[in-house]
Amino acid sequence: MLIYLMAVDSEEERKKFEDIYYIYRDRMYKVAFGILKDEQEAENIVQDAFVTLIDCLEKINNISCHKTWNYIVTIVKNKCFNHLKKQNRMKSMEYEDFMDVMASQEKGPETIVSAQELSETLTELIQQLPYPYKEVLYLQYYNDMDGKSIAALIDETPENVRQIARRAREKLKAGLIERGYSHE
Amino acid sequence: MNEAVFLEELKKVVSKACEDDLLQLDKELAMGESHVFSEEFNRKMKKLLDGSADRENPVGKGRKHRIPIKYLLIAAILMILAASTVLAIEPIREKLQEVFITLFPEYANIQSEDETSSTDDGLPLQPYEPI
Repeated sequence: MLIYLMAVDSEEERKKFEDIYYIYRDRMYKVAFGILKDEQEAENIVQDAFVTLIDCLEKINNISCHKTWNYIVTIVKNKCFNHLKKQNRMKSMEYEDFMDVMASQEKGPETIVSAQELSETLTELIQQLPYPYKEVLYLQYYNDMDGKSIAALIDETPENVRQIARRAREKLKAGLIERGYSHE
Repeated sequence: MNEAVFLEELKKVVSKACEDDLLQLDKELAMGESHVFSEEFNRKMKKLLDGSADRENPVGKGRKHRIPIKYLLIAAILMILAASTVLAIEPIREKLQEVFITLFPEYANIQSEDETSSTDDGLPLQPYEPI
């Protein structure tokens, strides 16, 4: 027998959920459609993302801030990539490839650079990180989330999240070395 | 640059990178027209917003099975095997027959071995033997 429960528990949470729905649904759809290129699949992903959001409502304090948008967009992206992976439509998750890239990196020439240059280079490298490295770093440092919460959000184990974060940092270091920044 | 400096710099830079990314994304998303969601999407989301959706399957897609089908199949096979084993034991089978007869007498047709081995006129069946 199916037991129907109230999906959103309190009136306050219901209001929050409704606000999130009307503020973000269109943007969420566009993000999903941008990845999947299919209207029906994109709508299904948006629905799924809202179902996930129901259980994470307590983590959202300010609805209209960048942190919330980052949180939501990560859920949508994660669901899209998992969907593609299930359908074998994604080439590779780059998890495995990444370690080979790391091994092939060699130290470049040492260069004295200003803090400003370093910051700009690092920003650029972060933005170039593939999924899910960038997203994990954003959730960790921008949303101040711990490994367990990130793991729950992106359907990974906390151990995998730690690995992803570590590899992301290694990739950034390698990128810096490649561009002439020494790392000791 | 040592590890501590790198991590310090990373923490500072990640926030900026993330905000830049989100601003860029917002710019890109703002360019297109708003999407008109399908009737089905609106219906399912209305259900979710009303709080009348099934929590296990809030969008009614049948995508979440509580128990995977393979486990259900294994359970069914085990149940059939257990039933066969139990019915193979005569005392248990007879007991079950008795229970069945007690519960559903109108569906029970009792025949003794004597009856099955005799004809309508009461004469016992004899194997044909040439004279």
